[in-house]
Amino acid sequence: MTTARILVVDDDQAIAEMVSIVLRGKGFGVVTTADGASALDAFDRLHPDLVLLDLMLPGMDGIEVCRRLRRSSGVPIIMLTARSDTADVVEGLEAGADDYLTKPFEPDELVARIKARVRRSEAPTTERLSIGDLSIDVDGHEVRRGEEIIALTPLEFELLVQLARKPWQVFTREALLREVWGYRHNADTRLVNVHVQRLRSKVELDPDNPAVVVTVRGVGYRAGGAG
Amino acid sequence: MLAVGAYLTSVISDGLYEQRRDQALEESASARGDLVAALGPVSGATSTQTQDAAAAFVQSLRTAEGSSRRDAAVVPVDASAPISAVASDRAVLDLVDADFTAALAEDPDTLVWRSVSREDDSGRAQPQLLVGTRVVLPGSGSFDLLMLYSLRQEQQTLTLVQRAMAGGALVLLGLVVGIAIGVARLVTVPLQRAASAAERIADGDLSSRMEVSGRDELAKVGRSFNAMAENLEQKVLDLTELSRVQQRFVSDVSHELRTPLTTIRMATSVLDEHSSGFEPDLRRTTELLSTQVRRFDTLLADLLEISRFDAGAATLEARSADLSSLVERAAENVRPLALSRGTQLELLGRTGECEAVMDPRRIDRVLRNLLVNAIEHGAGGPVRVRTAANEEAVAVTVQDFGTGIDPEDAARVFDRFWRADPSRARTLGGTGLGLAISVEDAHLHGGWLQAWGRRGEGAVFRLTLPRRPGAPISRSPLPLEQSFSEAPLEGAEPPAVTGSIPAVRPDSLPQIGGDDAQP
Repeated sequence: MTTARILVVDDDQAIAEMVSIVLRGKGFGVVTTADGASALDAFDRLHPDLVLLDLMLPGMDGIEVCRRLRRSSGVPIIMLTARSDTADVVEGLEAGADDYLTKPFEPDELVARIKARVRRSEAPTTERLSIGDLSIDVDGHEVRRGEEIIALTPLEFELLVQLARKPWQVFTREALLREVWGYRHNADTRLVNVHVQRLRSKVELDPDNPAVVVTVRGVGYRAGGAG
Repeated sequence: MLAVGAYLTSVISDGLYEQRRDQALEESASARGDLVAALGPVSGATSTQTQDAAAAFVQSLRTAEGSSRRDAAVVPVDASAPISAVASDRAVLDLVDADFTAALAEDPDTLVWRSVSREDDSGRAQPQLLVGTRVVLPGSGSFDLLMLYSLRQEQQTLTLVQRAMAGGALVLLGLVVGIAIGVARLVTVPLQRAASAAERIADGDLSSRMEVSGRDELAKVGRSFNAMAENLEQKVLDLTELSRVQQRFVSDVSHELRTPLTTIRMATSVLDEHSSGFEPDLRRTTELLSTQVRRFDTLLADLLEISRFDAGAATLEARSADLSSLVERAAENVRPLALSRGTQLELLGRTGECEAVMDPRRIDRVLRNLLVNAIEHGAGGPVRVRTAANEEAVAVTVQDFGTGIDPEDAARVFDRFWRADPSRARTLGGTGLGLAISVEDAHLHGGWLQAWGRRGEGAVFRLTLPRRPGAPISRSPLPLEQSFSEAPLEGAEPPAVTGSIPAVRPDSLPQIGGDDAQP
């Protein structure tokens, strides 16, 4: 596995430097920028494997940066926020962030979150799955409805694969947090809610009446039946 | 008005009556003269002539002009009189009774009168005036002249007057009522408007105002009311603004403090990783730095959480969850701590029967708090956790057998930064805000968090949550006061502790989070 490169965007120089030290110690390559515009610029030049994005940035704020990155890329984005208030976090997740960390965080937690996002399917398989009226090529990271290819971010893809692999099983939000996000302790289930919604907006024919990712009231989600 | 009417009627009727009576008496006096003239000159006439004269006289009275209808009778007083009684109407004679005759006899030359009532042809009582006088004619003997005057005309006039007055009274009454209603309207409508404006303000619509017109007292009240409402609105706006500014400030402080704290924590972790290579003093320094930074972090997080409650910014992420499962998980999470203290965790109550709509993150926090507290203050004794449910609520009690608290202090444990014994050190480095946050979490669900205990024996904390947030609870499924006998409990069935509850005055029970309907 080649060294994953991480773009750290934070206007607080001390924290950016500290994060760099910790991540380099864990074997990641790190580039830091201090504002939104230079972050977009750096992203275009370097194509990092993951973006660590502070929400509060001078000029263009983190949420806007997140939105612009998502327009062209499915790169994993982890938000850093000092505010765990509902509005901020949900806005960030809806802008396309995969996960978030509330300051202050433990270095171990940071590394665990990053590793959960940059891991790739370990062994190559020729696994083909289907969920609802979609077919999934796991190796090729491709989801199709008939001939039409549906573009998903790696996280959304993983979420869909997780459900498709065990179509008979109802996944609780906690289970999904564990399997897809790599959380060991209970965490914010809003992560699941927001991403299921984003996923539905891409894969469902009628997002208000989901047939691919079905809600099981009071429990969680499961894969929709074929057809 | 009725009294005035009655008075007027009586004055008018008295006047009418007196006038008629005077007229009748006057007529009677002249009739008396006529009778004397009619019977007197024929002194020594035959009784037949006298009889005829009397009859003619009576007839003449009956038909006399210029007077109202009247009947008359001439009645001889002595039985030996030459004539028999003559009457234009026999009824006249019937009206004379002994009293009247006696009055006539007493004073022969005066007129005696009285009001009588006689039924007319249609059977209705008609008021009439009976006037009588005794005429003594030398030679011819004594005769009683009786005359009956009808008061019918006066009665009719009176009836007319009464009707007119009744009609007037009705009109007047209508007028008065109308005016009264009008005046009342003038007063009550603005008052009603004021009342509804006040109600709207009370309901939270601070922009509500009264319509003010004119310059009377009511207008003055209206203007004062509006001024008050204006003031109130401004004050509330100011306070809202202040609260917003404060919230913003707290939020900003949070960001400003948390960013450097993150750097410090990461730096500490890096130092920690390499501390095995440090010399002892430096290693210990790193250790202290590490724990204190973590403590600072917790304190900051708790402060922010409390300020969020204070600002009313805390929201419930509620969904259906099983309280007993949450309890099991929380117990699992604190088990390492319990083991290090030699504390045994006893979980009682069946799993899967305590379903309620709650915010699992908040409830998990409350449970962790209660468990850590119990372990911390349990002095190595067991920590007993019970869960139960009834139709309206689910509950969990966490009981320890340690240092305990006085029942009087039980309510105060939820105060911010309160310590049972200020001199006692905090061993687990709690922030002193844990229980205060837990109470807010319980309240956010519309639930209760209560404490009870005995000094030296232990303490019980009980969390009661409604099946749905905000639904009323009348009683908790679990008793707050529990026996502190430390008998080891086997099996999952809660023991019947109700029988061994130590006697405690009900008023010494702390009431936190609502009224507990239990005795």
